Amino acid sequence: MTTKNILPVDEMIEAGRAWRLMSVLLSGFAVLNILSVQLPHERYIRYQQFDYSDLFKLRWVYERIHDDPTPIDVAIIGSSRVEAALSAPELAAALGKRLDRPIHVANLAVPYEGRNLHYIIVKELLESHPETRLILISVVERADISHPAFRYVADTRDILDAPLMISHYYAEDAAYLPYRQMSYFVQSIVPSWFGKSLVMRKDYLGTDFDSTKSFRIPRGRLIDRGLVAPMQKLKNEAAELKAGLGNTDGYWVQPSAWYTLNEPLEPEYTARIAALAKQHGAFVVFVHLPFYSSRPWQYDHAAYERLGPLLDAQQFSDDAQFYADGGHFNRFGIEKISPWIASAIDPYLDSLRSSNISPR
Amino acid sequence: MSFNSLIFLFAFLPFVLIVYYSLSLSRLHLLRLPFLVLATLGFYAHAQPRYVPLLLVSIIINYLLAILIVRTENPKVKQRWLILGVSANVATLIYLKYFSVVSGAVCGVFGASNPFINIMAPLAISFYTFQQIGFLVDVARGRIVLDGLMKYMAFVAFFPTLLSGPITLNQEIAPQLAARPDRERFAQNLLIGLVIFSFGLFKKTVFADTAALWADPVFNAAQSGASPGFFLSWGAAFTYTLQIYFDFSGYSDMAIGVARMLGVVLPLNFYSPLRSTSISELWRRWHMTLSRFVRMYIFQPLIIPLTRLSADRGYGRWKAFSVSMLLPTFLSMLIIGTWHGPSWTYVTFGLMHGTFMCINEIYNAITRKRRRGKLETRTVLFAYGLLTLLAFVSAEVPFRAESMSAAWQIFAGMAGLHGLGISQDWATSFSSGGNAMMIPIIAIGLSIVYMFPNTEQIMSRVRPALEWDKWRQVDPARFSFPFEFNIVWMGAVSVVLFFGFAFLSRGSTSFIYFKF
Repeated sequence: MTTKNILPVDEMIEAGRAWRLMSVLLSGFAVLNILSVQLPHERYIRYQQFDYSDLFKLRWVYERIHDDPTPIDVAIIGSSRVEAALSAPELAAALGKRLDRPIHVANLAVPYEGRNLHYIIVKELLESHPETRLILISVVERADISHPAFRYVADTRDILDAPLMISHYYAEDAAYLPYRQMSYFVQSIVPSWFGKSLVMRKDYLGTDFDSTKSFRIPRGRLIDRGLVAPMQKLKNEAAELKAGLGNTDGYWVQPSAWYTLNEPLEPEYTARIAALAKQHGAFVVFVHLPFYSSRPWQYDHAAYERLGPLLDAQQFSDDAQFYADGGHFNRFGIEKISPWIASAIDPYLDSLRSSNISPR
Repeated sequence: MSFNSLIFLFAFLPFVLIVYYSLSLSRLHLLRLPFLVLATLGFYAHAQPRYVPLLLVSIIINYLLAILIVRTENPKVKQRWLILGVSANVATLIYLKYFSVVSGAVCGVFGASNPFINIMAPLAISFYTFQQIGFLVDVARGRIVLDGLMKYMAFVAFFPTLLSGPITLNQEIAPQLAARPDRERFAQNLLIGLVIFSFGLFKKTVFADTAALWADPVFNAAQSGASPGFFLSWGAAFTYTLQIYFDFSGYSDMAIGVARMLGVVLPLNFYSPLRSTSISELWRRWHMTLSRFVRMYIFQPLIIPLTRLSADRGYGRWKAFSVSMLLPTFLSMLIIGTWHGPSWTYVTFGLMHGTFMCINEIYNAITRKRRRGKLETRTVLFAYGLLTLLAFVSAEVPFRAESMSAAWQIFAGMAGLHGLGISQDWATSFSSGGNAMMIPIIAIGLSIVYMFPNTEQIMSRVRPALEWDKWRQVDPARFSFPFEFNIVWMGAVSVVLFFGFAFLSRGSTSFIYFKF
């Protein structure tokens, strides 16, 4: 018996016609997706999507790169750990003194890990600021995840060119494109309806915005850089970190092949950043800011050292006074980190000494 | 796994369809149902692997009980097996879904810690438990002939209906699953299923998830102790009503669409309920298969003995009416409310609907003579519809609120106790229009509800649901655009599918009914 015998008869069409109509439907769906991805929009709109979130600084990053005429000699790229610890104005002052000329440093780091976003920011930076000679990039212990802002700010081509089709995020990022492009298209036409702007805001945070000082997220919480974490909290977080990294003796463990296969983002994009920097004549230096009570070399230092010099602030890891939480330095820590980083990058300042390229 | 997830749309569903039809149309067609069961277990395991054994055990035990019921000649023993089966199902449901919360409340009174805090309600347990209770009752009533464990497993573990219904009857689904798919209809079923699914996806991601953007901030703020004003409270209640309306309507379409792709026609589950002119009519059109279950297995078994009791005791008109009609009506609605979960908010939802239904029944009883043979004027029907809508919207407040305190905050706002309160800081700020955007959203949503045909009406000529002939002429919409097999329609559906898919990535919420 087949279903034909038990269901009431309804309007029938030939199987061949049904297939043809289905192919029309699916082709129309595919064409609409392709067309939607071609919709134009203002790039600045992309960076305004996070104005009231932890990632509100992204808008400043765009403005600093594209709208602020001040050159960028040294850029800091990474997550909130370097955003909180490396003071751009303090580093600029120290380097200026050492090189006897004004040096402009921009801390372009934003919260959350995700090397693919770092690549996008470096790309924007080097396309607009050929004078950039030194890029300080954070070292990641093992956080090979896609940055939550990547799909919002990356170019379509960058999303589709993401490494390996088996990346966990590839399908989600690519599937987001039609909606994103339509949304940005409409936001670009009537930005005021969405609280967006096509020109740089009047209350720009300024060239010298220093994320190592306390500030408040718009309509949100206070980020207190003076906070000293309770001892027990630090110990708990240190224990969690060790467990999370899958080792107890304190040394970096090679991830499983499965892990490497599925999460290729971090090494892939770090290599892309290094290659891009080299292409633009910029020098990449990796900076490791340790978690509280972490042991030395709890990360794949050899992989980083193959791409550029590595500076390690491991000596500060055991002083609880320096930490606002297990992974972020506070103002006491920053006061130690600033002179250390200014001194540690001294061997790599040759490119800055000879730089005579003007900003775009 | 949710119907509105990429993995379902682009991996699971195509894979299942290809393998299912490859098996069905080949010599290996006997493997079709085992494959479907396996696929469903994978579908379930993707969300809750730890409860897959429970699902399997539940299916097997219920089937064994059904065998015992069938093989027992003695009616009394047969009855005992049925009572055992129903009790075991209900006890399992109560233990897994309600016990942790109830014991937590009791322990809280005595200041003790809750030893059952780790019990987590398995996904879909309310649905597959009800489905199997109905099966046992129908077996005992002689309505079902047992046809093997595999066919029974395929009926219960049928992924299009497993997570949130429709709550189907064995006798309407099992014969369809047992029959080998027809080669001539295979492509047509795929096409019709895809069209219905596209409408459902669109309703969910474009309408329901958009409404949620405005409803959620107000309900969340109320949960945090904020006091929304009059307009904002009503706005939140209406936007949430539209959210759950399009959410469940969309889900039901998607379930019907996916089942149709597999050649199975499901019963109607949602039929423009907000266009109803009474609350009892609304419940015949909202979650229709749950209402049918409650009517068949709770309301009717209650009403018959209660009517007999009233007659035996010689109750007067109103006392007999109260005992034989109002009491079972009220209890049925209370059970529907509590079925949603162990929370006072759901109990309140059930109590409110029970009260509305009783008022409706009393009104009908009082005015029956006066209205007999008369057609209501449009103004009166409009008033009935408006009253029904407002009653339903009010009852959605406790349904959505996370606690009774949050529900009271919204109710107080709706009563004007918090002032007009058009724009609070904590309310939505997705656009410069802010809370004012609720007005066009509600206006557009209600226009679609009242003016446009539902999916089944659009798909009328291809019999989108079982017993369609009974519904075909019910409540036609103001606008009508019946589906046709032509290129223009395919272009239109591709636009619908595209927007449904594109908005899915905006940040789609889970289906509301998944948590029940």
